[in-house]
Amino acid sequence: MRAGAVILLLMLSGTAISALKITVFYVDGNMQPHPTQVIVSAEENPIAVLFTYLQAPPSRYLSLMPKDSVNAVYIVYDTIYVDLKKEKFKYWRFEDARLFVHSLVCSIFQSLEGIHWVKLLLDGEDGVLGGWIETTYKFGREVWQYWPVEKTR
Amino acid sequence: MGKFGPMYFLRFKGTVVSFMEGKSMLSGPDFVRYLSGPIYARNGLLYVPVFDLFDTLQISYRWHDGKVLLITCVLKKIAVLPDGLEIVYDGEDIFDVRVVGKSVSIKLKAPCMLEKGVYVPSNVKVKMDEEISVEVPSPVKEYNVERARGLLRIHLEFKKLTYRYVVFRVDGRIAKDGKLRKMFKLYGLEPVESVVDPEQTIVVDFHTSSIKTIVYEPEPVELKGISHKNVVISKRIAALMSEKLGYTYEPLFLCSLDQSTVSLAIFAPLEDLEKIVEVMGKCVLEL
Repeated sequence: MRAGAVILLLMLSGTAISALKITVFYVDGNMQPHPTQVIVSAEENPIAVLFTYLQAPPSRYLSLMPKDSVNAVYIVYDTIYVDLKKEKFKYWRFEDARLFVHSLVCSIFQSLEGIHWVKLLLDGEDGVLGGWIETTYKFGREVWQYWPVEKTR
Repeated sequence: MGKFGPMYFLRFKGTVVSFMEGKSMLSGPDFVRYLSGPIYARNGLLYVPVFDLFDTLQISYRWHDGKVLLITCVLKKIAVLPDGLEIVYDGEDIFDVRVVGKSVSIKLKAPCMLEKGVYVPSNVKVKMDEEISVEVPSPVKEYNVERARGLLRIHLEFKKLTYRYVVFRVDGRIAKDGKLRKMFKLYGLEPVESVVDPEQTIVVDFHTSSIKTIVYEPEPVELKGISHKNVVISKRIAALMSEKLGYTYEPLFLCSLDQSTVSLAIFAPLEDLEKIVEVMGKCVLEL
């Protein structure tokens, strides 16, 4: 009886793992975020799926992340390193650069629980993304877990 | 006003003056004032030289652009005190007090005049019939107005300033606009071209943009808390300003922000610039 219960529990948890959900923060023309849930199957890599969705938003949302703009993504302990192609992020408008960063970092924190820091790199190095945003520092979960653009009312 | 036989009487406050048609004088119980011409009647109206009459009855007036302005308030003393301002006057309370930053302004709601020989302190500007203004040495945190008969006293509580300097750049260039500089000074902030003392300087980068947002720098873990105070205050100013301006505020590691000081980047339309400077001055006083 007890062995049967243990087997059932394992099966349930196996099901939970296979039905992983990630959240992609899309942004509309009014600069409002639209967190969108995507179900990732057990065969898929959730990080790969996340970046695929970020680079191909539905047409009603802004296209913030250029296609083929990622060199590599890797995780070291609780930090995810996102190595971007520098050439794709030159001379951006601030309006686009800010939304891109918020969208990317929020999507990562909402989708990947164990990650506490996001480190952006430009061709493997620190730099200035789009001419505006310093990538020297790590973006923390505490600040970017939720959409960080606030309005006091 | 009254009439007794051919004699007319006028009384104002404690003075009584009498006069007659065809005579060239005004008289009272203890005075006679001779006029340049006789008092006369025409179309049922009696014509009396008005300035002689006003002078005799001690009615304050001013001749301005072909009109006689009757003065209902005469300023007898204007004094700047260590904790405020005092005005002693005779007549009507016509004062509307406004205090913004270092500026104390008393709008005059009716014509008034200074009594002869009244000393006006050098830092007090009197624009007759319009305004009395004083620039006090420090921005005012709170004030209250005491009104008594013939006395207006404004009590001022000054703000102890934490931040004294501002580096304000507009699209990458130091703002040289005289009006903006004057507005900063009104709130006790001296516009400078570079950081004078990181503990007392606020750096603001204004960028012309169609979006309306204020960017503050979050605390980078790599700095191990070194910039904590600046981060907290930057965020507080950003939140206060965004509330007053109806903007958003957000964290970002902007390459233009300086972590050694309180610093902000403001992205907004150029026409909002003056309003931003005014709101910023008020928010710095609230810290």
